[in-house]
Amino acid sequence: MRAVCWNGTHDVRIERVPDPEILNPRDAIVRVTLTAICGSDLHLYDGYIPTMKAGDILGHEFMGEIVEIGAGVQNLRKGDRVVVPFNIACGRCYFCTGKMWSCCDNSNPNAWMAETAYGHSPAGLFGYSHMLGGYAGGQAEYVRVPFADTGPLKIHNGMRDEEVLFLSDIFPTGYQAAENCGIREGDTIAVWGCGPVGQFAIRSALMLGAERVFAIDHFPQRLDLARQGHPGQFHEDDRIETINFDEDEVYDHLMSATGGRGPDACIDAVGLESHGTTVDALFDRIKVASLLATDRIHVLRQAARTVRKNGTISIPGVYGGFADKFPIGAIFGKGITIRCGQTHVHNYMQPLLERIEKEEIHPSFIISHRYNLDEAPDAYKNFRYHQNECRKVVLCP
Amino acid sequence: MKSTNIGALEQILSLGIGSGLIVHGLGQKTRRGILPLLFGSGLLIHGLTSHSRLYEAIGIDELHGSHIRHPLNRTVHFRGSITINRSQEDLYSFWRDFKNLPRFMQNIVAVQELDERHSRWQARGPFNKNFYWEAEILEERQNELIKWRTIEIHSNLEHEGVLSLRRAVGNRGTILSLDCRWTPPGGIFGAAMAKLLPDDPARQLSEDLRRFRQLMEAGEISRNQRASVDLDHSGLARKAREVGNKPGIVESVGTEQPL
Repeated sequence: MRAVCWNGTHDVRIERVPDPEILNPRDAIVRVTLTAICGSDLHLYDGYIPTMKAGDILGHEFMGEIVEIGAGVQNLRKGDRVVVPFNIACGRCYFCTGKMWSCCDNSNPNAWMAETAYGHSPAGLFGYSHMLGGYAGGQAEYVRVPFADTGPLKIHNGMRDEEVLFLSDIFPTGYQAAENCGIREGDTIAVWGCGPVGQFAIRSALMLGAERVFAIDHFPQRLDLARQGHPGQFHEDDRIETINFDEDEVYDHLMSATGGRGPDACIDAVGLESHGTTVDALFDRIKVASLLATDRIHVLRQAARTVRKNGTISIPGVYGGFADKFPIGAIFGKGITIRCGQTHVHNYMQPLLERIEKEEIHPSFIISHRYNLDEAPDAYKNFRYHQNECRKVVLCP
Repeated sequence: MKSTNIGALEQILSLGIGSGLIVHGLGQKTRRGILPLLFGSGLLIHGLTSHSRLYEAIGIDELHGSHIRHPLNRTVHFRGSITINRSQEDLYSFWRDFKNLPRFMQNIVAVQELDERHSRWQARGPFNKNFYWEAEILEERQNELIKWRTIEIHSNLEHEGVLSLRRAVGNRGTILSLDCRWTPPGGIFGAAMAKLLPDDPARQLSEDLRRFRQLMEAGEISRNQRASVDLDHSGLARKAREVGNKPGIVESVGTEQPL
């Protein structure tokens, strides 16, 4: 089959590889009908995530048709259309039974690597380094799905792939980020980063009762998309206000907009490659370039300074290692709660599918580019270097 | 930890030879004196501090090492525990049926039960060397504990261990603890080698415990299949397929490859 393989920093190629096979009773093989490049794939592309090896198949947002099932899978049949969560969960350990799916104890065959780095191993992920399982990803014609009786969500009706694909990651990720804010009626939320996850976080915050959302970025087209409010209805939503951090000082703007109180919660939808033009951001770049730190946390510092006292910082953006100048003083002094972690996708797929069915949201609004799988190297390059125009890329095998 | 871990004889020899080398080194007028000077200083420090970092790193302790039969024989000690979301009864009955152990223990090839208390074991060691031993159960409490040791005359590996099971606080499954020691062949060098090998037996045992949990909770051992071009010719992908086609056989493929 054809697959998108990582071969090193900024080196992604289409290669012919052996077809996946059933290895365990609870496996299934999915013929991929639509897959996407995630913002977190760019962290791999840029070489920020350790334990990648040349030849690894990328991709953790995918959906398709079941073509083969293991003897232990009772709830699926050949021909079923499914969306697959990006994290792999056994469904039976302490964490899965407690609905903490992204912390599954049993799905990472390379758990010792993550344990060495983090003390414990989170769940295995599709196509996201050997430390997180070494599983082949879904940017391919076929993919093996372990614990297929637990993760995949069946799509019964005639819904288009483009409307449901993002249930695999970014829609639940944005939604969980908003949920982690503990939003109460009338809250003000500030979202850093208007990439795909940020866009879903903005809309989810409104769904959960926020009265006002500030969207922060410096790419005009992303800010425009954020302002368009409820997808499908392309009019400006006056509950959403945008801040271009190239033109405006974020802290000052938010303080004057909230009468000095600050947003009730801040969402960092940027993660470890956060950039900015301030002194601390420059310092981060130097530190990372000289290997004295791995993660840049400019956004996190700004959020800690901005959020109201006793407020919440929710982090859906990916972090991987260690950061410098962590704002523990502001966090302690203001009594800030930080909520973060990989998304427990399994909890959100069904309820969010219902929202899509009720047309409360059309997730395909995020797609800006459609490519054939063979064009993946160009797609990665475009997504990486033209973040203004290129918001979300889907690949069709 | 800075405690004494070398014996008196080694200490005296280190001090003696070290001083000798330093005197010899200082006597040389040319650069040839540097090497004995450095080596002698090292030995002197080794003797004075009576502590070796190298020994500590590879787990040699000449004073506190227990179970010493021969001055050069050293034991390897593994102690690990894991919480499993199953009852003590389930875990005990699966483990006590020793034939099940090769399903999740990577190095155990086969187990044969001879009678209630005796069993014969066969294992793969480093460099494809095979080990065999006969184990005798010394103590057994149903659903709680199994204690065993090898019978020397029928074994080429000395080994003893205790498996214990107890209820986790708050009824959150069962805590399994495994404590075992064995004496690798090759004495002190064997023990050092065992620690330095990529498939360090102690680490493999902790992996085995994790695989046991996967088997007991998820019903299977998680495996990845790295379908990529370079591996297709190395045999690893082939191995994945062979293993994958045999139902009931569980063996990790991707995990064995060190980074």
